[in-house]
Amino acid sequence: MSLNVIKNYALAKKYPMASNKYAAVVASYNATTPYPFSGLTFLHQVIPATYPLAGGGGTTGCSTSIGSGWYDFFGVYSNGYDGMTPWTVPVIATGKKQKLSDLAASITAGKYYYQLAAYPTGTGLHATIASAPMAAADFLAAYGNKVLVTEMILLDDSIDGQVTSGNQRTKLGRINYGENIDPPGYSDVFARFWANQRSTDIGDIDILVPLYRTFIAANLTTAPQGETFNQNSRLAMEVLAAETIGFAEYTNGTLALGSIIPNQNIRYFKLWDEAALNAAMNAIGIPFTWSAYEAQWRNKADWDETGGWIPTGQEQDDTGGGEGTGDNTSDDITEVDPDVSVISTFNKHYACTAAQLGDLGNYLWNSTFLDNIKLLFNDPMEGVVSCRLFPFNLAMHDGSHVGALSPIMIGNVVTDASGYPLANGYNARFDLGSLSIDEYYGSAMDYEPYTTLAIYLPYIGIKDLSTNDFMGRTLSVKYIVDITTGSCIAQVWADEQLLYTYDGHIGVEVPISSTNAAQFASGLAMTGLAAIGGFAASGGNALAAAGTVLATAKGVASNQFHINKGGANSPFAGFYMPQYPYVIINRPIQSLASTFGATYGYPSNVSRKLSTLTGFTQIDEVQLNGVNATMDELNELERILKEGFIL
Amino acid sequence: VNITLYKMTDKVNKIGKTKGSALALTGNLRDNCSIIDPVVDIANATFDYNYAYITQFSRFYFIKNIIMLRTGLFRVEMHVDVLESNETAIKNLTAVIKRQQGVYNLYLDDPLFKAQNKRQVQTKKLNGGFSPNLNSGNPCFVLTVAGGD
Repeated sequence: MSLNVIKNYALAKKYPMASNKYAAVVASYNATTPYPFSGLTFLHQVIPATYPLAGGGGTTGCSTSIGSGWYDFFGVYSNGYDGMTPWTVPVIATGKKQKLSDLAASITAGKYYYQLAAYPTGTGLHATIASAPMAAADFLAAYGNKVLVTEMILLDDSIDGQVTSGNQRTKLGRINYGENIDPPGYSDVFARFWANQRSTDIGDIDILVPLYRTFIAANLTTAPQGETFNQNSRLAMEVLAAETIGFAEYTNGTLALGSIIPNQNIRYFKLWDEAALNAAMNAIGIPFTWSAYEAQWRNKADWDETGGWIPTGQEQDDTGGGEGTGDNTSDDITEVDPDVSVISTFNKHYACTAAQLGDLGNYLWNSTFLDNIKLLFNDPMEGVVSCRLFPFNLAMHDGSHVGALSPIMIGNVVTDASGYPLANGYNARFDLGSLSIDEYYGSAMDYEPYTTLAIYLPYIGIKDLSTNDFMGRTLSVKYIVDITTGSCIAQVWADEQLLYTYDGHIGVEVPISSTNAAQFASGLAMTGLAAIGGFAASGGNALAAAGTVLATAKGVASNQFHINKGGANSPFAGFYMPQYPYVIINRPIQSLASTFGATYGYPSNVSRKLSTLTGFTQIDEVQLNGVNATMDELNELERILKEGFIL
Repeated sequence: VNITLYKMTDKVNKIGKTKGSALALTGNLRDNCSIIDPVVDIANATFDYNYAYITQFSRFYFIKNIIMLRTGLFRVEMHVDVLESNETAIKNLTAVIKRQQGVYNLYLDDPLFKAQNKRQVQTKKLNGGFSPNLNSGNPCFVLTVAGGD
């Protein structure tokens, strides 16, 4: 069958599209012959079905010809069809998945996101609103790592084994991911698609829970398990709910909890953990690959692991071993918020503005204070333990650890100056954002030693990261700042795994006496303290030194990129550095000749029957069984096969 | 022996060579003729072929050298084409494929890939950060003083 014939709808005898029909996949099982759990074969029935414009939903159209209940068949579930004339054709599937964070452009301010009930509660299959709306930014922050299925395509697989560049598989109509379709969300729907024929919408298609009941049955940990799960739609929906989160997008944030979403401009999402989605897609039973190219242009024997999904732990033709547990799960690493309300009862901490520190400076040297404080200390400055400057607004960042404005107390002396009392042991946490690290070439060139990765961390410097730790994952950075000491810890996460931590110093020590001013003036630039009139007795000296200190700081900053990636900035010099983390991706520029594949081939490392291959081939090892030749010929043949030949 | 001569234009390491027009002749094997490297005397007006099939040996041969003995008589030195001669058997073999044009795994390290000496350096910002602003009137200082609660 030539390409032209396939593309000509008038000649496509298998697909009577001219009568406004679309292809739906159903099984030949029904209520009396339930689908066995042993797994689907590749052979499914494809039924062209007319979608009646006035047809009802649910199982109405299926009740006589296919089965008496929606759960009695699997595959693509239509809202009703008639005139079914089944014929049999094997199918394969492909699709497109996208991380929610990659769809951020369409998740914008003004839209609200309602989580749907995990499974129907009292109104048939109709899901209800389960939580208060989330604003777009919060929704993205919370679920950006989840995956959305945005397209699904079924193709005729009857020519498997003979697929060539002039004879590719044919798509069974066009099946797009559905949005803005009739309400409400169906919590049993694995994925919903909007079918059309040459730009004419003809109906919605749902892939239902029973389609992947094998997967569900395999993942049940509580009774009923295995075969007893059969026909239990509610249980199937509960398991599905554990694997997905349903959301509805609505531009009006007024929907009530427990209500069913009205029929207006709403988009429905089902968000997946990527690993669960891959496993579920594989468990559909239909041959599946995420690579549209493989689905249309490759014989199944030529599918490789880059596009398909083989869930059984040990991937064939890919990795060695065989005795491992196959357990590649990871535990999410979580941060701890320790209950340390009191570290030291000997000191108090206040958050102050520059002006408030100036007020305190003036007060410290008046006679009233000196008389009072001398009861406790020889030097009034002994009452001030330290003063540090931070590059953020302490009160705005974390109001729960910052009290209301009140007079500053030194010892038991209430001063005229005011500040915001801080909780003892208060460590400020900062989320400095995330970044998806994506492959550029889609090959080994995206990994070490070819592509290297480094990160600039404010107040810490540039640090090397392992590319292999982050490629294909989301890198995020969090800071924990010790308000008491000015130290900080930067955490670098890969998805939910904390892989790197770095220490730094973010709080600038502000001189508060002539003694410690002398210690710090040689190393700190003081220009930022100009507003603190009269606070530090040594302020003048420090300001005088500012020019030379700053010049050195800039020199250190510029040199740091080339000489010493590991050094941390001096704290105040860090104020002049970028205040956000950024990732430095250093990748090779590949030089690939256009005939490289035909001349050298690409690394393969799979076992194949040679008749299934075309083009340049080089074997690693072969047993020359069945070749009737002399020993000299066999030796020559083996040499040629290993040097490379063309099929 | 029965020899069919061809003008073959494909690469020598291809299985399923395009052989072009054929000329069937009868030739004489030289004494002690090898099945791997046969030498045949062929009588023909001209000789511009580079590929042959010998029926009695059931093998295809590359023509290595042609020596004109006299006008109309050529001595043809050949070497067996083990790929073409065993095409069916070879295609039935199952092998561990080291490199392939269409079935590949690009995540395997490929020592043949070449990269330019210049490299691409990309910097990508994360979407959070600090904002030092000392004169904003915001409380950015932490003062620690003696005396507990």
